[in-house]
Order: sequence, then structure tokens, then C-alpha cells
Amino acid sequence: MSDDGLIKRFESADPARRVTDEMLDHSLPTDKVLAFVLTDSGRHRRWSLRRRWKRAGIFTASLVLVAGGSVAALTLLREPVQNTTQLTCFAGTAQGSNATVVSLTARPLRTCQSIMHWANLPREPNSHGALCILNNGSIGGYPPSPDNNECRALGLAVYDGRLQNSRAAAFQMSAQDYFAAHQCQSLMTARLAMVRLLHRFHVAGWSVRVSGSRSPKACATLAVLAKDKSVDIVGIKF
Amino acid sequence: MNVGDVNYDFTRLVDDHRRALQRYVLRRLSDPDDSDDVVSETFAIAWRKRDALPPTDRELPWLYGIAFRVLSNHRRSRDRWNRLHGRISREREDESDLDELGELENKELLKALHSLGKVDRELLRLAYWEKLKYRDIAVTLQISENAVAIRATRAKKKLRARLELAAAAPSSSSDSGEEVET
Repeated sequence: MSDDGLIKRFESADPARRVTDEMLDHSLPTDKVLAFVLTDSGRHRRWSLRRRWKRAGIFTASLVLVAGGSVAALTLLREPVQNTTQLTCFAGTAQGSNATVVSLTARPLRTCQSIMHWANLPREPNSHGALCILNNGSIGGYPPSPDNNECRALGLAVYDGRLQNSRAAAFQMSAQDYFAAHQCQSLMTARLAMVRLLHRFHVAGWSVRVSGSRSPKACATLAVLAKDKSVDIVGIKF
Repeated sequence: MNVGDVNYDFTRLVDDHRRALQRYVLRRLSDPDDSDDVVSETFAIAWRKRDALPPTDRELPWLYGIAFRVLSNHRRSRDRWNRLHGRISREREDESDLDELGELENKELLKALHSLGKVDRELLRLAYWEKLKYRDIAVTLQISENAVAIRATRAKKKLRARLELAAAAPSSSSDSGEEVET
């Protein structure tokens, strides 16, 4: 079949071949089209605005979810230290080595070294041991080892100095230092000092309670309940 | 918004191409009410895209391109509606025209046309019904002019083969193939 043949067949099968201009004008005049365009334009603009708000809402919600998920993931990955008041110093890197539990200090490795009399490795004078996160959530200090891989060898996470709540941890360390320096402080003076320390480290939501002996001769001792976010100053009369 | 917001250029665009577009849509849909909706929707989209309006000689192929996509959406909506109402729609885009045409030859042509792919089918319609040149068909279908030429050659070859096959077996042509809604 030639191209002309196809043209004729298409013309013959054209569904619009009998449609006149008058019929088209009657069915849909230009004014009607323009009126529809104007109406649709307003409608589309309103929808466009709604879609924009909808998109902004979805975007914000997604951002919050992603940020929340990231924070949760980071918190989990950090394996936070729960007990920031105790430091367990070990004599050796083997399981079941002798250990001594002391209050956590600002320089835990130095504390352990002085208590357990660790010796530096001969070839590595700067090796001072390792801090690991123990299974109970507290910090453990281990003496230096040749492979410098103490925590992993024991199946423990490495404590990298970051605490679950660094401000609260810093406060606790300073509070312990304060009580170590003031052996028999009055209850009210100790209470005031703790309130000031909380302010200094911007620790919010914590309370300072006084309990025990109220005698003027009583000495203040410290008990930090991190879980309850409370600082207990207990008066003990010696 | 008032009528004054539609500028002179757009009014001229509607005036110049409305009838051609109405015919284009009528060739692809059977219901005149639907065709008016499709034409109006096409111009509404053109108004939204007026910043991308092509030169005057390309306006009509550009409008056909918009209408082509509006028709596709229209068919999808109709199919969804039919499915929603539990009806298995046997109606195809051209077949509703078959009864009105009444002539066996035309039925054969439309059937053969329907056996082609969507783009090839549209390409031949644009060439034979809308009398567009390859460069204008390229604008409508958003493919290169070279691709139009290649596809047109293949599509014509296929169409001729189908028509010759139908002509060789006229008695079976009305019984075999796709069902026609009556």
C-alpha cells in the first residue's frame, strides 16, 4: 500500500471529519476556555499554597525524625557510662586481677596509677594504662599493656572521656574534690557550695537535700544519686 | 483574579488553536463533553506554563503535547473509575468510534492502528490526521526529529502489514483480534 493509500484511509477513518467549525464554536467557545483558565488558575494557586505548606510540614516532620534517630543512634553507640561516681582500679589486665574501688576523680588514670603502683612500660614511657567501661556501667582503670589494647582484650568498651551527661559528671567530680578538700564542713556551707557548683556547671533539674544529724558539730558528707538527680548532704556527728 | 489578567497573547493563542485542539481531542475521545474538559484543561496547563511558550510556529505541536498527556491522565482516571465500580472495561481508546464509523475498512485501520505501540500510534495520527511534519511531531512527543523519522518508517511498515493481512482474510477480521464493544 502506498503512502497516498494510507492518507486516504486515514482521512476516511477520521472521527472529526464531519465536525464543522460552527459545531466546535458552539461546543466550546473561546470565552468559555478563558473563563475556565481563570477559575483553574485561582484554584491551582490555592492548591499550590496548600501543597507548599504540606511539603513544609512533611519536610519538618522528616527532619525531626532523622535528627531524633541520629541522636538516639549516637547515644547508643557511645555506650554511656551510667555510674559516674565510682572508679575501679585494677592491678593487672587479666580477668580477676586485684581491684580497688574509689571515687571517680578528675584524673582517673593517675589515681589508679598511684593506688595500684602501676609501672610504665619500659619502651613506652607515655603509656599510662586504659580506661574501660565495665559491665556495671562504671569506669575501670587498667595498667598499660604491650599491645595497648586492654579494653578490647577484655571484651569491654573503651571509655573515651565522654560521659552520658558531661555537665553532671563534671559537677560530681568537682563535688567530690570539694569534700575531699573540706573534711568537716558544716551542712549549710556544704549545701550552698553544692548549689553554686550546680549553677557553675549549668546542671539543671537537680536538687540538693540535707539529711542526717543537724547538730552544729556534724560534718557534711556527700552522696550523689545521679539516677534521682539529687545531691544528698548527710550530716554525721563524729 | 479577573478576566483582565489573561493577556492578549494568551487570548490569541486560544483563538488561534482552539478548534485544532478540539479536533485533536475528538479524534481520540468519543464523548464530546469529555473532549471539552480535556481542551479546557490543556489550555489551563498552557496558561500555567506560559513562560515556556514556544515560538508561534511551534505553539500548536506544543499544545498537542500537553493534550496528549492530559488525555493519558484522563484515560487513567476513567479506568480507575471503571475498576472502582467493578466493571471490566473492554473499551479501548478508539473502539467506541468504531460503531459510528460503520465501515469495515475504517474498523480495520483503527484496529491495525491500535495494535501499534502508544507512541507509534500517536505519531501516525499526528502525521495523517493533524498533518504535522516530523519536526513538529518531535515537539509534541518530545523526541528527536530523527527518532520520529525512524519510528514513522517502522510504524507505517507494521501498519501496512496488518492491513494487508486483514484484507487477505476479510471474513475473519471482524471475528478475530480484539473485542469491540457494541
